[in-house]
Amino acid sequence: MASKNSLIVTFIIFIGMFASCDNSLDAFDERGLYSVHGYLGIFKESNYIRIKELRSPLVPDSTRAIDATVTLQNLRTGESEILQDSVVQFDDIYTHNFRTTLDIVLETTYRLMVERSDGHTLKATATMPPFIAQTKIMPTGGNCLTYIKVTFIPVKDRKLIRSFVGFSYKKRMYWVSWPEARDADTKFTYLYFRPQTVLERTPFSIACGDLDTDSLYIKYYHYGPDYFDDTVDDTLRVPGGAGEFGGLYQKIVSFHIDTSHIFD
Amino acid sequence: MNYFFSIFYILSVCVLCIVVMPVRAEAQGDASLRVLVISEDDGNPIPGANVLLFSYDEKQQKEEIAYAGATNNDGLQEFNSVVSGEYRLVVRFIGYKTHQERVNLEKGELKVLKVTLSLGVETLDNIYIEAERDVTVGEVGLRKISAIDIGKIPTPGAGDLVSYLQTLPGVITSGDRGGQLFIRGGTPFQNMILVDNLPVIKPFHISNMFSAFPQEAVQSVDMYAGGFGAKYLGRTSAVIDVTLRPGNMKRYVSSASLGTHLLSLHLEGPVETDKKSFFIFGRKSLMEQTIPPITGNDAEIGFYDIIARYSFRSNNVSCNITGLRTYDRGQISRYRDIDLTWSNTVMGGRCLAYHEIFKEPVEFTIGYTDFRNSENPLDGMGLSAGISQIYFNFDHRFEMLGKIFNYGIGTRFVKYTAELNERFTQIQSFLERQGIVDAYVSTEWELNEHFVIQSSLGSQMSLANIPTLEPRLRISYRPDVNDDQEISLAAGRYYQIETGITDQRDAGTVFTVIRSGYGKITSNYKKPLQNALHLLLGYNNNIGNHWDLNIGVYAKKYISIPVSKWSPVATVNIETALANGLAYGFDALIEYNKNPFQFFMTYGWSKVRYKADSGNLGAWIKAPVFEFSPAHDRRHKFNVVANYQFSGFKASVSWGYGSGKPFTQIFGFDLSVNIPTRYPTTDPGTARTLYSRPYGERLPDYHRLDISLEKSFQINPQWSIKAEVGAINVYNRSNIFYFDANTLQRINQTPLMPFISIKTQFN
Repeated sequence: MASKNSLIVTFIIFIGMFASCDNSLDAFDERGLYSVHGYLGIFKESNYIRIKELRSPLVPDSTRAIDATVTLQNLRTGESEILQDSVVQFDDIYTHNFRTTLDIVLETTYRLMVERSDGHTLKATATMPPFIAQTKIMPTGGNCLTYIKVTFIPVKDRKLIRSFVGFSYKKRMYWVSWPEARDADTKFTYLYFRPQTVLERTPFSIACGDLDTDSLYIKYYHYGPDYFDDTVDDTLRVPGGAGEFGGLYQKIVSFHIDTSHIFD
Repeated sequence: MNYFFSIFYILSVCVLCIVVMPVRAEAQGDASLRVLVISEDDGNPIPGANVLLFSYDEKQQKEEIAYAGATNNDGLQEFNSVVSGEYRLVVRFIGYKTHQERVNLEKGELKVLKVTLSLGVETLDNIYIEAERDVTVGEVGLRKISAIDIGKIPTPGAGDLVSYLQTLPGVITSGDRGGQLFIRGGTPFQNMILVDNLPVIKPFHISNMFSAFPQEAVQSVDMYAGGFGAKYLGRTSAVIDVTLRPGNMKRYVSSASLGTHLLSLHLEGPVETDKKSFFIFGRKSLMEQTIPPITGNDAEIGFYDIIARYSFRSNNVSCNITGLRTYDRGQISRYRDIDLTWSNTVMGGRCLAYHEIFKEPVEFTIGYTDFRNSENPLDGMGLSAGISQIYFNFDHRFEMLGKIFNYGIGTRFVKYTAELNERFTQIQSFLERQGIVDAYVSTEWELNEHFVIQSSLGSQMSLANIPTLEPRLRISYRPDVNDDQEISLAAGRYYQIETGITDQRDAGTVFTVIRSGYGKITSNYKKPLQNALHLLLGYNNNIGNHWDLNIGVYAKKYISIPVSKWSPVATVNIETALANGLAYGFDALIEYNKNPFQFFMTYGWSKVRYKADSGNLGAWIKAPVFEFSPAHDRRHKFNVVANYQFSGFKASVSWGYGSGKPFTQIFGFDLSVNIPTRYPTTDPGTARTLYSRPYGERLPDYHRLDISLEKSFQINPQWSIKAEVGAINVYNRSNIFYFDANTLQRINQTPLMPFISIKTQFN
């Protein structure tokens, strides 16, 4: 009987040892600080960058205030600015969009720093494109079935250009994303499309003659050279955080086509 | 490790060739004897009975054993190539009186004998212990499970196969809900589950304590954690082969049970005494009604299962017609408004003909299996998927060059369906059909009194796949000639034509899409079929009369496993990429059986690693190849189960420990803006939860103590009552199931849950 009792006691002690083990769970990755969504645009008077604390759930109480000091610095001149928060409420969620009025100029790198009160800091950089691309549109004066080539000179890395073909229909502007290619001879990035095909990509059937005007538009974003560095997936372009931050400029050019001809 | 496997693959093929190649026929006779052993008590076959043929040795002037064997699950033992002459046939099984008779076998004769054993004086428990001792060959990777084994685990209502399986090393569940078993690194859909030779897809209930196989309905179970022979084709990890109990051929037996968890009813009896019987067993969960008042938590789960059998037996043939229906419904997490359902419908028959007109016994199986499952969010469109199949199998054997070859041919006509909504961009709703043909051949080669080699070769093919080639090998070495010690090795190649896809990142759902597997040949690309290589080494020692020791090491290499594609954003995802996996480890089991005390203790160490191309996987990992431990990689598992009988009571204790399994942390909550086309001040953005590195952290350890106490009361010879009380998670450990990224809730497993049940039985 004594041996049986000691067996039971041993078993209970054994289980008690395990029962005292740590049972807590840290469900969050400590490395996650902030998400950053925004860009520095060259032709804009002011730029807004959305900052969000990653550990804050998307509920009103958690999003009302943010523990972040946001600084933008021009790494060429050393000039820096502490960005001001402008809170915009969507439904019951508060978003914190930090505004900068710093001059954004070509071929310059800017560093964004988001610092938490405990000293943890997220850093991201954005380098502006080194030049403003020239657009060459060929041929001119074509009609809706004419293939049109728009070349971005001298952009050789086609992933740095993202372009859309636009038109006005019933007083609204529509933009259709169009894939870029690289010219085998010049190595420049270009778009190649037929206006009628662009119109067919819209959810409603539009004939060329239905357009408000005879103008077509090319809207394109020219990204800075480091915009896609160190990233695999576009949701994590900010090391140590999440989101997307970079430098670019946006331009829109227009050209005319003959929309008077009715095609069967 | 590739090199390691390659060597064994080549070795196994070589050995197979050696075995199949013409060999010198040993000096053997040409008579055959089939012995069918029946219990006088219920008229049913007795599996595991010892059948011995003694001959008289003129030189030594004494009798010696000429042939010996143990009956299979059909109660049949067959001796082939018996030298003609006179023998003394002895059939014995503990708990029954030994049967003896003289048998005279003429040259070329094939004789069928039916032997009926009457009950002896031993108790039922002794039957089990001694029977297993005689029958078990300790084959590596194999665990033979009896109904009495199943009853050792404290389970509300009665013992259940799935509760027992979870005490074995190498068997992992995703938690206490979901009905998913991971066996030695394999995923649930890589396991083959057979009930009387009929495949069933997911017979495990949403509460992991219960399955469609309660103790009362099970006769025996063979669980191969790997290294199984080519008779089992179509799965790459493990086999759970369940043999159900036939109905009583002598008298009617009925029982009813009511408890905190289950209501069950059971009826069996003869349709025609000693020839035909029926067996019906049904259970329904009461947990939805009874658990909330006990634990204070909702239990949004419910299930039922029904087993119906009709058995027919004559002197020359035995048939079982089996029907199985299960249905499960409920939520894995009470914080998620997702209703899950699944159901199995199995109908089929299996006949074994051993008439003298057949030179060798012939076995036919024909059946229909259907599995449906669905996921229904309360606020959105539901998903559903399933598989239906009709199949026919034929098993036979032939003698060639003095050796017996078992072979079988099977064919399946399968329909896969899925109705998915727009969330799944790559996998659309589909209906696929395909026919699959498989075949195997196997043989045994007794090199000498110590070594036995069993080799088999199987192949599967469909119109979409080239035929597979699946050599498999088992070697056993018995240093003492008898069954006391055995060292055995198993190796083989395993293919799987169809695949089950579950988003294993999200433990809150077990919705599975089944479809014909990879391997389709397109004009310019061929994906490899899901396949595996197994290598197992085991040591079994029956120490004295009461101790058993089993030690095993294993390695399984899985190739082309479909795994959920990763994205940093937490959404339901059943798009898959192909990964390769390696599972290896060792385990030990020690068992003690001597009334009134029985216990067993198991320990398993294992490691499972998956490797996939980062690009295909969709991970945001910079390295080109991403290596990770999947969610079922539990490193340590330890279980103790004990039973003690005293003063008419039976006390049962089960304690289990498992080290933490991998999980994926949350990186954060974001409100993303699609820049540069959208702008932060005007666009609200898209709410999303971001995952961190896949399976980068581990959950806390798991451990739980369950107890039960039961007592039977014999009211009169025909009526007995059994009462049981017990508790699950006695010390109320908050064992984590998973962390739900969608609701940000820690989901714990079963808290302290007392249970009670009462069962009445009429004979």
